[in-house]
Amino acid sequence: MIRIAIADDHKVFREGLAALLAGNKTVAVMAQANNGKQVLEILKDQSVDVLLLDIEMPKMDGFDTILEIKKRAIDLKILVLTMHSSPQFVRNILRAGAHGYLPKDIGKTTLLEAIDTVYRTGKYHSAETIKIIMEDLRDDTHSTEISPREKEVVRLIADGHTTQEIADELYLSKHTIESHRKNILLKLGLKNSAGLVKYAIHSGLIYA
Amino acid sequence: MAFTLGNLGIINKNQQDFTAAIEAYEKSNSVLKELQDERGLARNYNNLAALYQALENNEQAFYYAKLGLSQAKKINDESTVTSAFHNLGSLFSKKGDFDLARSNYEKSLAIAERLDNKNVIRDNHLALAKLYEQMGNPSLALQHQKSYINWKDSIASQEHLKAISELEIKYETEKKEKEILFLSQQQLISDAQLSEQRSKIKQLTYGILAVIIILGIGISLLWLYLKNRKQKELITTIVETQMSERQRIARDLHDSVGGSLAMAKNILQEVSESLEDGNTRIQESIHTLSETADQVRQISHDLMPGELVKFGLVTAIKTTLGHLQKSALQAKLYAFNMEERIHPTKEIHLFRIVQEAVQNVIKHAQASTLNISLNRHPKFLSLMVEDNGIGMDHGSKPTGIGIDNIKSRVAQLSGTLNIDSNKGKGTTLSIQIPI
Repeated sequence: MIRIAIADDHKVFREGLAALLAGNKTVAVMAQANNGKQVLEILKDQSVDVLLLDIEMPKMDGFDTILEIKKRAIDLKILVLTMHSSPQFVRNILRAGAHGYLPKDIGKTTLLEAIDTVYRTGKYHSAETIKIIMEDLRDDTHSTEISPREKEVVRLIADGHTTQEIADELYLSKHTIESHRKNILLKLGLKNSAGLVKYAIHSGLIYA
Repeated sequence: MAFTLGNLGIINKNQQDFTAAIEAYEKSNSVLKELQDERGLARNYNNLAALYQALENNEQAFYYAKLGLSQAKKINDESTVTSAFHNLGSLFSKKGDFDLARSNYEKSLAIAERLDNKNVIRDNHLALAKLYEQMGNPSLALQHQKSYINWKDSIASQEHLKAISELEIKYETEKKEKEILFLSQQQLISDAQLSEQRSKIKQLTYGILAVIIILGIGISLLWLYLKNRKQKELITTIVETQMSERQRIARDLHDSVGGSLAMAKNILQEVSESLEDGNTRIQESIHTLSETADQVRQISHDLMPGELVKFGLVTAIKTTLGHLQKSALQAKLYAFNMEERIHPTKEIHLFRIVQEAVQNVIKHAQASTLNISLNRHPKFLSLMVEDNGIGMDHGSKPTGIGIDNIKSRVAQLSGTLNIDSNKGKGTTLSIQIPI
């Protein structure tokens, strides 16, 4: 018998979930909580094997609850049940230390399977979750590097062109070139254009 | 005219030009006759008599003296009568007819005494004194001589007095003139002082007016500034209230409604699994519930993206760009120094700006690359949205609801917006927001 606690601020869902699991002999719903703080109160007195945790809750949300459980080194498996399904949410949930993620409308069969898997193996990742994470990893849409346009501006500055000349060359206004220059200096941690020239030579943007 | 001619006669007489004087009197006579000025005529006759006497023309002198006397008597001009008697007396005396001379003198004297004509009285006494001397009557001559001297002195003293009084008058007049001069000088000075005072009052009035105007402008500017600030604060409050309301509704839709729908779907799923047959209706319901849940999720996301609220701008933009993965557009976010969250209102505005800009690129730009730069400087945040699409005609103002929304959001954040676009050279949106 896997001992389960449910944390969700939404009573209809919480009790619906308890009712859904009630007829099953492999799981037992030990406690219900309205938010993260109540979860932590319950865990002080009770041992629980799997926590079904919602993310959006008042007072203490799912993320903070996971972090707090990790901090207190409470031994249990956390299965996040949430309405959120975007890659950013899934990734942040797993990064926070949850053992598995499921959307709220997953259905009884899959839910029981997930509870069992996470209890036995310590993790549960559905094919859907893996797909989301893989796509997110593959599509690198985020960078702290300088952009191709910024590289062009660096090259032209290092070549000794004036702001007006660069603006004409790139079909941009002086104002935009100036913004680029400021952004480049910020990103490269430089104070002035002289540093830019040095950077351009070192990074092979221009030949010395 | 007659009077003028008469005067001319007197002037000529005084200049010893007796002939010219006589001529003037004769002319005067003819004019006076026409005017029927009897008195003037009488006097003229008398004067002519005296003139002829001076010219030793006794015949003419007698003629005019008698004419003058009769004329004067006719109009009862006693002053001329006394002169006429005196003239006759003088003429008779010359002729040697002393008795007639005496009677004429005495008649003249009597009338003169009655008229108190001092000069004539004096002249008659002198004439009588000379006459009695010639007649060999020294006592009467002496008596008249004495009277003559008395009258002469009296006249002299009277003339003296007259001169003194004239001098006095002259003096008084001068004094008065001086006083008037002094007074007018005083008046001038006081006028000058008055005008100076007036100009001072004028200056003071202008000064006060200027101060009042400056104060008025200052106060109204301050009032406008305060009103503006209040309005800005009000708008900010409204926007923030609206945002928090949206956020609440979005969360309720997402979690409560979404959660309930999910649970309903779970229960139906279980029911459907427990039934042996004929559960197509239930499958249909489950499908409908799924669709409804998706719609609710979409509405919630449109109202307020959960990623933005939970993880901030970079994650929210990444989610937005993630949805573009299946399109031909290669989109990338370059974010620097964005680990720390910024003010929620700014995040929401910036996110909506990015959404709007991305939508514009998808709809109009026909671009293959889209780069978004988000750089946090110490004092401002720089957002750039660059595409390599078809761009817009150089110089043509970019318009549209999308651009207007972006402009209004940038304005609400007190930021600056710069749009570079050239035909075939893409479009670059450069926005700076103070933080």
